[in-house]
Amino acid sequence: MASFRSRFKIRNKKGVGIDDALPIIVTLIVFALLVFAFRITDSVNEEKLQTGIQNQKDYVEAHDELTGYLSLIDEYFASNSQLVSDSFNEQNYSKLKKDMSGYFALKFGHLPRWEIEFLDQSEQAITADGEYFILRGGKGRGGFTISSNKAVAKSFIPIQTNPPKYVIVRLQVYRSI
Amino acid sequence: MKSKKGIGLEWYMLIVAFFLGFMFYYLYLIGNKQTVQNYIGEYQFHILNAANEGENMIIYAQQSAKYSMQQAIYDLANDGGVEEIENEYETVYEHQCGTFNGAYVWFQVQKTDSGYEAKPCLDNSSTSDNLLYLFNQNMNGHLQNSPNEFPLDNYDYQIMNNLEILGKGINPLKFDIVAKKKIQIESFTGAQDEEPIGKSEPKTTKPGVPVSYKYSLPYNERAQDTAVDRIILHHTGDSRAYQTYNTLKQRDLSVHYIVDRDGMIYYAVDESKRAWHAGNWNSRSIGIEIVNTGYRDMQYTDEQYASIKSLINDMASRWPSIKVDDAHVIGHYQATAEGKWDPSPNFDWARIGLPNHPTLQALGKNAPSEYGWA
Repeated sequence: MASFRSRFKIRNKKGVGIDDALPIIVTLIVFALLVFAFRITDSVNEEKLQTGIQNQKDYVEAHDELTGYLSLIDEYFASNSQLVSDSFNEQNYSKLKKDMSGYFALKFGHLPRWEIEFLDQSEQAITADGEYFILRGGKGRGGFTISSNKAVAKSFIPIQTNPPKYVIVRLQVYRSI
Repeated sequence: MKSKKGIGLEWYMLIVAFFLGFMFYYLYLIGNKQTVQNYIGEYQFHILNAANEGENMIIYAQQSAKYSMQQAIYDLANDGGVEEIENEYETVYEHQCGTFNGAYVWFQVQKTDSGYEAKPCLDNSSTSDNLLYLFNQNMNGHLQNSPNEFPLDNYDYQIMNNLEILGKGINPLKFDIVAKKKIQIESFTGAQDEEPIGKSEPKTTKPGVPVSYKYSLPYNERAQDTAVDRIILHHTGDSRAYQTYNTLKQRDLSVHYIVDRDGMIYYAVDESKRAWHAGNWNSRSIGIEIVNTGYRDMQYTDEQYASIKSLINDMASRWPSIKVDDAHVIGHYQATAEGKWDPSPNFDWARIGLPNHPTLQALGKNAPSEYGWA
């Protein structure tokens, strides 16, 4: 008994419960933090990667749809780019708006939001007769989602003016992330 | 007692330090990788973008062709089909029957002793030639105004049935399939030593030399992500700055600077904008018109040399992608494949600090004999 107490006392003096275990405890904690940090970083990178690829895909898709629309021809072999130019030459956009709304709602209706704007050569929004040409659609309520990626496609359509000018058709599609 | 053992040197601290060090190194490595991962598919994406740009250009060209055709027919009808056509050296077609109400007469009916006689004022082939000439002129106007870089006079036209014009491209359209901006992957490509291809922003577009703002000429926006890295010199073809201004305006052309005979510099288009002076070089260049008729006996003045030299040095100090050397300061004759010979051969490049600049003759071109150049 005496010897046990003596040993206990001696150990207690050295602080056996804390001091001896401290190295391994600290090591384990650091190791755990390290593994946690790696997992977080990998996960974030993977998400970024997926978002980036999706965004690139959206850019290509937006362009394809925009040029696809502009290249479509009617029964008189007049293309939609002709319709765009004619609308600006005649300053009458009702037919164009109806046509574009129908087409792009079909193509991008599943996305939170899509927008088409017409800009002049200096990329300023065109307002004709007090009318700002913008079309909007999408299933998002009230428009934007807070976190969304935007893909932009532009096309340039000449209009019949002297000197020559063109209008920019800008399509923007938003995807939630 | 602990103090005696020296707590800072405990062995486990070395393990902790090792792990921490490894963690920081790993995170650093991940950080670099992240740049790479964000650009997975970057090159492929730019190739797709180049194809997209091509599609946009086709749409633009097709629509331009329609309007050019309509305008050409209108012009042809309006001018009686006998538009007086001149190129740089000669009048190609002249009207034969005069004008009526300002329009050239296309067809004339004359009363003779034997009755009425029809007198066509031009034959069918010249009508076709006129139509093509007008069409090409209108087409060039649209293409020159395009945000894309279209080569001008690049189509070999044929008139098909029913006034259909078929234009076959002579030279192909070219696209950069590598991103024009500097991709952030220098850490493993070593591309940082290369000259930046991305858009270069000037410190300011306000010249550091005295200029006049008397003349203002049309412009549009430069192509996005295009570095402005060339200064292109021209001669005007006349002898006064105001004549140059009027001519450019009439022809829907423009240039950033006009340097008059007395050395006065007119700043007509802001350097940040795209002036219309050198076809598909417009987006990447700043144009300077030097007032000179181009005739052999007209020398460039000392004042002009001094002004041009100070102006290009000033631009080089403001634009990071412009240097005063033979590659960055060029003549219009170097920028265009055919037909251009400005500035004329008596322009002394040495006077602006470029003694070894390639001359017109060295490029196998000649100035026209009508201007006194043998």
